[in-house]
Amino acid sequence: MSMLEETVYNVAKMFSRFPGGRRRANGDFSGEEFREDVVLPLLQKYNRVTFDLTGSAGYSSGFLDEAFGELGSIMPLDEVTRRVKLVAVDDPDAVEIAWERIRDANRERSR
Amino acid sequence: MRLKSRGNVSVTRIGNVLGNGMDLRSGTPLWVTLALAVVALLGSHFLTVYREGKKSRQEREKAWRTSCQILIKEIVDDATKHYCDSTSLGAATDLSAAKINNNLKRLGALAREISAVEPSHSADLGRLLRLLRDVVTSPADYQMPNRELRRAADHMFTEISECESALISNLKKARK
Repeated sequence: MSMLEETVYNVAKMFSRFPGGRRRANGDFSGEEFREDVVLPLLQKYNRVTFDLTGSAGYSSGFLDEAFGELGSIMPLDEVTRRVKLVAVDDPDAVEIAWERIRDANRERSR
Repeated sequence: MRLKSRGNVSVTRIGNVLGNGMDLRSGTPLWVTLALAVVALLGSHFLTVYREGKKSRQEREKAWRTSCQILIKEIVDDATKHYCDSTSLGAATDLSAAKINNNLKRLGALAREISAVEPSHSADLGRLLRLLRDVVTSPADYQMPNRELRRAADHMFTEISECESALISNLKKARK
């Protein structure tokens, strides 16, 4: 099945303005829920996905770790950088933390 | 001789009109006197503008620093309450965590409003902001409603306190 080219997913508008904790056990809108229900299905359907983190009330490191960090362990880093784009006009630290987690997971994977 | 006499009369008349202070026979041409006055006026104007601008920048920087410090203190206090106080457990967890997350995001935006003179200080600031967010919000029990309360001597609070001091120290570095 051929993949669609590209899409933009706005987390605040399409998932939640108040992202939750790390695991589903922490409550609704967790990072785990976001990865399993949003990130992975989108990456199966589209070649490139832009996750726009702008507009939410704030992300915990646990959410970012769980939502995006895992990508570094399921695909090579160059593939993640080619296919995933993270933007947050009002929260540049969230983007930086997510990429740090992806790189960390990728280092773990290549050991 | 007639020509010389007419010239003298003319100079005296102009001198009388301008007054004693502008006596043209003193040797300073009129245009130089006027030009010096204009230069002095402009110099004084631009000096005032510069001083007022500098004062306003200093006041803005002071207000910015105070706002950052208040926000950092609020985050640290809320984080301590979140992990140590039983009133933040259960249903209160979501609200308490959302407030901390939001203040961390606000701090990131506020702290970047005025950049440091040294680029390395700006880079340090970014690193410290991410470190504070990590220390407070990355533990697995952060948003667990039934998490165990931590003791005040917990290592996490030492890390938070060190991060707070480093942030405040960074904010005192020269800004532009």
